[in-house]
Amino acid sequence: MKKAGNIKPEEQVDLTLSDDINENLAKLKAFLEESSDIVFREFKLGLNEIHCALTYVDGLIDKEVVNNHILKSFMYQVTILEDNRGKPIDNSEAFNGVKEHVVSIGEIDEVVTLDEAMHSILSGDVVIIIDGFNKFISVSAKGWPNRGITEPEGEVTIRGAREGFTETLRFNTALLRRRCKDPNLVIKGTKLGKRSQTDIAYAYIRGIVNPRFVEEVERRLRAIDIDAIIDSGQVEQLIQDNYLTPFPQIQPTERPDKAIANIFEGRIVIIVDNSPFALILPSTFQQFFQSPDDYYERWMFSSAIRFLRWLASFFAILTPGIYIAIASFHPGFIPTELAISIAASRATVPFPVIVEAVLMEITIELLREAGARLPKPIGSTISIVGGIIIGDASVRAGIASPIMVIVVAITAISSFIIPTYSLSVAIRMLRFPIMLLASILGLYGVILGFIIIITHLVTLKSFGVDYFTPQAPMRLKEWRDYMFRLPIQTQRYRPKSLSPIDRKRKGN
Amino acid sequence: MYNTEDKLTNTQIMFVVISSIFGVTGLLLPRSAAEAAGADSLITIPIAGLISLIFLNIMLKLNSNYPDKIIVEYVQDILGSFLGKIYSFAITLYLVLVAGTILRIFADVIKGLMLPQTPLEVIMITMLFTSMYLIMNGISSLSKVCEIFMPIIIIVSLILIFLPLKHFNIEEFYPMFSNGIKPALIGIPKIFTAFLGFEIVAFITPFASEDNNIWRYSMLGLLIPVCIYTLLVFTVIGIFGVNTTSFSIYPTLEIARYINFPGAFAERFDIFFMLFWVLASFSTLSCYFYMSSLSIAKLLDLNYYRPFAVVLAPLIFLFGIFPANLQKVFTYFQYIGYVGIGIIIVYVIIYAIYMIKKGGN
Repeated sequence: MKKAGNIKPEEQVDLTLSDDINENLAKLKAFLEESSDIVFREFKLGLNEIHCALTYVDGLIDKEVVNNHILKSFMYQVTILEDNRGKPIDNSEAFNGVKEHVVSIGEIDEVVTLDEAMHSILSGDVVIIIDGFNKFISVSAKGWPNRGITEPEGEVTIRGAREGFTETLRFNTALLRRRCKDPNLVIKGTKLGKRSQTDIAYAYIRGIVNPRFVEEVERRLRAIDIDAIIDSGQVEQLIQDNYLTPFPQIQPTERPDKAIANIFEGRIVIIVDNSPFALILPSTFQQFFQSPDDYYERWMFSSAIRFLRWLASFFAILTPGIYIAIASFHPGFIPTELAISIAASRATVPFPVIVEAVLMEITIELLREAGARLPKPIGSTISIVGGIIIGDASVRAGIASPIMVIVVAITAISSFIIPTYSLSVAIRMLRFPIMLLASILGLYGVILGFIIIITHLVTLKSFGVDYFTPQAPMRLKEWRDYMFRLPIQTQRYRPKSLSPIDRKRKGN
Repeated sequence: MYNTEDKLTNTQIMFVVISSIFGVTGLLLPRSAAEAAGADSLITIPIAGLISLIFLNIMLKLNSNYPDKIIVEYVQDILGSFLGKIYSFAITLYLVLVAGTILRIFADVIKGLMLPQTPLEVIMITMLFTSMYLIMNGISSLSKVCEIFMPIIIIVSLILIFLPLKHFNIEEFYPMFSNGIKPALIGIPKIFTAFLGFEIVAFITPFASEDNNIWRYSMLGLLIPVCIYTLLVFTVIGIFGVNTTSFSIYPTLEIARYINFPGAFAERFDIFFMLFWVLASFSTLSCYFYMSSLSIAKLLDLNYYRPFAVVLAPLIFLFGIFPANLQKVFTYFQYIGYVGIGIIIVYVIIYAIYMIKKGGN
């Protein structure tokens, strides 16, 4: 037999199991022996001394369970069983005997090929090999270090559940299941990544979601051909409609309440093992402006906040561009006093407005990125040093005008108001081309940039749903949950753009 | 044939019709109305609007007999290949000329108001490229953009019309019909050209699905600009009087200067309105650009129009840059408008031929 390092699993000549335990062990060991975390434990069963073995990955199993419910049973329970019956377990009934009388664990399975055996070992199962049988028993005794359920840090809400998704798929599906006891909540599973064999689950409510979305998601997941999936972000990029755009077409979330609310609305949620971010799809542009506590707080307040976010997104994209355009092309557009004060404050600045603006905008991006990557206490120091000291010093040094600092600060703050990180990044990025257009063509350039962005937005789709709905195509009924969040009493129907089977959400 | 994903909604049909009418002409209409009919234009505009509604009605009637075809295709069925192709070519040429003129007037206004140092060509080319980017994405994107921009533009136009009303003086309209009813009627063709653009319904029928109420929504799409234009001319003449209006180049922008807000962030409201008017011109230009690309593709019996957008872009630019000065642009625009009227009249004849043929069968 070839050495394990030289053969790939798919090249394995003979994947079938034989009756001889030694041969089976040799085959397994050819693959796994080199790894130090794989445990092979051989022992003898009962009075007939049937040769058996346990195989598992140290660290992926719960040692308590393995010792108390598997090994202990094999060694003590069997003798009690044999005493009671008055005769030893013979070789022919060992397999069923072990399955039925010895292992005291709920999830138990038979494994008939080497492939399956190795896969279950590597995903945290304990595999029991018994001499004389060409099949293994796989017992679920998973238990590995995990982070526990904590408050999501990326999506903070003032009101609402404090639970966040974690890295373990089963915990995440449990968080969803706990919020919906409808038997129609389907959580299907699949595996992605030829080598990583990452577990994926996608959840939806049968009878609400339009089946064509489910089919489309399944089709796109099947089409993925990649060796490893590390995070849900990769799945997102592999199944999105258009990858040549700054705008995210699938919404990631750390919050189970948000995920389940979207499932109830007729969407699908994908959960990827090892990633605390679930993916919501199909997602439209307006969804990225929603935060879960919009729905928990009173509607007037929520509507005001929602509208503020839309305003903020305009500010974040357009403010620097508009400032550049006005300062360099149309000082007459603004009140004379303001124009004079802008001109006076710019008098000491040796650069054209665009250079000044790009300089300051890049500085703030540097600060933001530095603050995001650093440990929290240092991160806040950086933002103080950056925001106050650099801002103040650059004005005193005559590199930037005070108004420029205000513009940059407003832009930055506005971009942080958008609740979804992936959209806020896109919007921050877009202000640079707008600034460039503004410096060449003034306000006309800004409008041109705006037109191009809108044109681009209307061409996008997310799983066949128009990205810019309900604005275009216009669906006035869905405006109840768009720029404003009107009272729950009025939101009687699910969004028509998702064409759900069951449209009605609320009775009269 | 036509991409089935490109189906339009009722509101999209309405806004596409609005945006192909409502655009550059909004700046010029008060002056041409004042020139053509003076104070009587208050009567002339609704009459011209009514006539255009009748023409639109005829057009919709004929379209409904060819739900899978655009005008360029079905006139060949009615008139025969040769005559049909000549008529279709005339339409295409007309559309390209209008697109070029719209582009030129747009660029002139932007240059005059906002970018005095920037060459005209730069403004025209950037606009044309943006428009090309839009129409390359198909009718569905075009209609969505119209759907987004048009409500904003309509609201802003109403603000523009109602804010300076304190300067309004009803006496500017007296005496009406001072020279009898005749001037009011003579002015009709000139004013009628302002409502051209509703021809777009003959290009979008294949994209309307059966459950669309295309008749109602395109009629509405024409009616809205008619109302706004009537109000606009009423306001402008009421503020400036007939003489000043007919001597001012862009009277609509002049009334924007009258607007004054205490504590407003903007001092020059004409620039502020200009920004929204960019959106209107953009959608009008894109509609004409799309129509001309589609019609040239169908003229050659091809199912893809995108390459022709690339071919037409330099043509539109050349037609736009060709007139030496603004005065000539306006003259050309008026002539092109008459060509448009000619096309509409021929269309009515074609409709008559169709009816006779149908009766014969």
